[in-house]
Parts: sequence; C-alpha cells; structure tokens
Amino acid sequence: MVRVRSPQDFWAGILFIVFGCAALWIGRGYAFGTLTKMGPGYLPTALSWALVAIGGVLTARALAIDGPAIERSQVMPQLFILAAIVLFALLIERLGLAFAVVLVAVTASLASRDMRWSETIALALGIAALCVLLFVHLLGQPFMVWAF
Amino acid sequence: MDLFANLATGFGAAVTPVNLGFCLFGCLIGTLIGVLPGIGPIATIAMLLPVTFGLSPLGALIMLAGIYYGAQYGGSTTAILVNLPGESSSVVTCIDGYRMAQKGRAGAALAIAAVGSFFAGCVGTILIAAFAPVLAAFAVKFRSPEYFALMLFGLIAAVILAHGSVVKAVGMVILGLLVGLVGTESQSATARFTFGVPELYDGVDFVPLAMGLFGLAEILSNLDRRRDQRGDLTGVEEGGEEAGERRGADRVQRGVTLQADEHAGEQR
Repeated sequence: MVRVRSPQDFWAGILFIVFGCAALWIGRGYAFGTLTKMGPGYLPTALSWALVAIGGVLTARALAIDGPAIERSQVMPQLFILAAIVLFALLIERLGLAFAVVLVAVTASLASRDMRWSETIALALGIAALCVLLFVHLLGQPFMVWAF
Repeated sequence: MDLFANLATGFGAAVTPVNLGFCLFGCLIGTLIGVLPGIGPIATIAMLLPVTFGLSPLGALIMLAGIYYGAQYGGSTTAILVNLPGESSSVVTCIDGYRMAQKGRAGAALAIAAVGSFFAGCVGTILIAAFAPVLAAFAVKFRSPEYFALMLFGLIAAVILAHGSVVKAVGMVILGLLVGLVGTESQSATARFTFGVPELYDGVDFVPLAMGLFGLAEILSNLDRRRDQRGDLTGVEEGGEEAGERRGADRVQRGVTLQADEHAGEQR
C-alpha cells in the first residue's frame, strides 16, 4: 500500500491534474493548428498538459517526501460563504437589489459560529438600505430595486 | 524653455480658489466612492461624470482629475483594513498593508498609503510633464517581442518571488495563464472556456479575481479560527514608531518608481 507522506502537496497535485484534465476536455473542440499557424486550441492544450505534468510531479513527490498535513477545516461555514456569492449572482436580476442583499447578508452570517438572529437581521436590513441609498439614489446605478 | 512656459500657462488657469475647491471636492468624493471594494478609478469617473455637467470645461476637467486621484487612493483603504483590493493596483497594498493592520499598525499603514499616494502622484505628474514626448516615441517602438519579453519576465518573477515550493508556483502560474485564456480568442474570435455565458466573453476581470483570492480566502481562513485567534484589527489610531516610519518612507520611494511607470502606461 502506498502511503501519502505529504497530504498538502498530494491534493494540490490532484487538483492541478483535475483542472488540467477539465480544461483539456472542455477545450477538446478548439482547432489545434500547427506550430507556425496556431489555432485557438494550441495554447489551452499545451498549458493543460503542462498543468497535468506539474500535478503529476507534485503527486509523485508527495508519495516520496514527507510534508505538512492538511489542517482540519469546517466545510459547512465555507459553503455558506460561497453560497452567499452564488445566491447574489442568481438573485440580483430576479428579486432586485434589496432582497438579494438581505438574503446574502443572512446566508453569509449563517457561516459564523457565534451569530445571533437579531444582530443578523438588523445588519441585513441596514446593509440593504445602505446599498439602495448609495448605489441607486446617490450614484444612479441602473439596478432593479424591487422585483414586485 | 517650452516646458516651463506651458506649465506656467496651466498653473495660471488652474490655480484659482474656485478651481482648487473643485479639485478638493472631486478628490473627496472620489476617495469616498473609490473606497467601495471593486470600484476602481474608471468606474468612479463613469459614475460621477454627471456631477460635472454643470461646470465650465476647465472646472469639470480639474474635478475629474481630482476624482481620478481620489479613487486611485481610495482603493488602498479597504486593501489595508479588510484585505479587499479596490482595484488592480492596490493588490500589492494588500500584501504588506494588511499585514501591518493585523499587527495593530493600521493607522501607520493608512498614513504611509496616503503620503505615498501623494508623493507618487506628484513625481509621476512631473515625470509625465517632462518626458511625455520621449516616452511616447519609446512607447511606439514597444511591439509584440517587447510585450512577450515583459510577460515572460513577469511570470518568471512570479515563480522566483513565490514562497515555498517552486513546483507549486509554476503550477499556479500555468493555472493563472489558463484562467487568462477565458474569453474570445483574438485571432479567430473563438469563444474559449465561456460555457456559453455572455459575461465571460470578455474574459475574467482582474479585480473580481483578486477580490476572490485575497478577500474571500481571508474570510474563509478566519472562519476556522476562534474570535481570540483571529487577525482582528486593533489600534487603528496608534501612531507609528520611528523605525516603522523610516521603513515606510523607503517603501514609498520604492513604490514611486513603479507608480511613475504605471502612470506612463495609463496616460499613453
């Protein structure tokens, strides 16, 4: 059984390989061309293979050389933060600025281990009011404030 | 000499109490808007353009210049206090400014940023006024080979200056190049890695990327620490110590050379 001696490097290498393979797969339709007449697929393919190679080196080395372990990390809070950003992108054009900001503030607050509902709601409403006042009324940005 | 006569004409027109007032006001609101993360000088000018409609052409230009410099400086405040670069040039401010803020020297960092911004702005403007014709002649000669050399230099510098593993640094440079490929290819207009999303046709903008890498990463890593271990900011008011201030002055001078460079690039 092969033992992973350097988990950080090992998973970094795996990530590089995954990104490289994904780029190769997504870019498989781009015309490759030749060295003297490079197509749109030339550089992506070359870079993807280079990334896979680097990932391979890193992974192989992690099996031979000892290195630091990966720190334990909580997944849920991180998911809440990332979800807040994705939510904002999805909702800003559907629900309008005010609702989107309130939802983002609440979602992001769920990530904190010492969040209180009263604090969070006050913060969310405050930020929403500030955003609407600043961006829509003072700076005249073309945001939709309310969807309904 | 031509230069001084032209400068005298310019100062004669610009230095009136009213025009200086416009400049101050423009600089103030430029800084206030520029402080908002993700809103750089260009966006600030675009948003505040209507404010200048009622002014005379000279007053409007002076106010826009004030807005530009204010916004340019404003980005450094969020970079120092919350590690969120307001625009691409304040990414570097994140690196040491935020570290200073974590050590309770946010006030000193903000002061250095402000003084440095003022000093660099002055030097950059003088350099542009004096050497613009020479620089313009040089800039025309800057073609693909020179751009290639410059980029290669930048990428190699990124690998050399990176902390830790060289292999990982090379890997991240390649990953960065791949991210840079997103968007419409310039030769054949093929849309690469856009997933059919129209917003990605222009590529991945630098500011959102930097905000994700610096700001979000900071938030995510802070989540795992308890409140007492966190890199909370303390003592924004605290004044700088002698040694720190002197090092700050060094840093300002180093920055000025780069800033002057950037000015040359922007005003070309």
